[in-house]
Amino acid sequence: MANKAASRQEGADKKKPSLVDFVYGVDEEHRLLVQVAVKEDGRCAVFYNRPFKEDPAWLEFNLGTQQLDFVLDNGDSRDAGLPLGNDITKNMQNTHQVLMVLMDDETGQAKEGKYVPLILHKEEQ
Amino acid sequence: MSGDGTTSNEPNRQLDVTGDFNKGKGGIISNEFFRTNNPNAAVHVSFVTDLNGQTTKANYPLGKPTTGNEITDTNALTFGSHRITDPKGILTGFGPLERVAAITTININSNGVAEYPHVAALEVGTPSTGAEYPSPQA
Repeated sequence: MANKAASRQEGADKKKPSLVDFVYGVDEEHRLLVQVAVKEDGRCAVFYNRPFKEDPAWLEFNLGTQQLDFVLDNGDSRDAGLPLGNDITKNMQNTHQVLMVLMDDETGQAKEGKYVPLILHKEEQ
Repeated sequence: MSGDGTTSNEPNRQLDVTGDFNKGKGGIISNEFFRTNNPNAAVHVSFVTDLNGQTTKANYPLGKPTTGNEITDTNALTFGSHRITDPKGILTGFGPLERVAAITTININSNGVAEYPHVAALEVGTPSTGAEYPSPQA
């Protein structure tokens, strides 16, 4: 019993901080889907399917590492988990705000939208 | 000689334009020749021959007239397995959904492990030719 509890605790310890910490409704059957779309003129939208517990105050994108961070008012932040890629990076050079759109992943319908400031960083990898 | 853009006393001969096209030789085309009022009619041209007799690949296909409202499957923005819809006008400021330059999708499981979807939800960068036909599923 104690071993089982210890094992569970160990599993929890292994769980690294991720964007999942910021949203509701992610479990073994329901994943968080984040989709970043950008246009040639720099207009950018982030589509996601789980509501945030607290709205991100701003986003930060590192043009070097291609990492997108979601930052809360208290300074806590989580990244999107993987680099966004060269095509996104190329088109986000002049992006200063992001339209964050909560999606209904059962229908593909946009449910809520909010503009959030974007801060660009240019640190190399 | 007739048909080569120079003047001649020879009577104009009837050109087998369609036959030339079918042989991949091109032919002489004009808007008048291919004009149609039937939106279901389609003429596909792969090669054109200019007045100097030079045959080149057509830089645009003649096809089904477009209405300007076509959305091709390859350019439609999807989320998960669904085409994105916006009945509330939330995406108005973002503009047309089929004109996205780049897109990246990330899946994150309950343990925080992120991965790119195995199958790309969207193929972008394929410009519409205006001659697309609806997919059988549409």
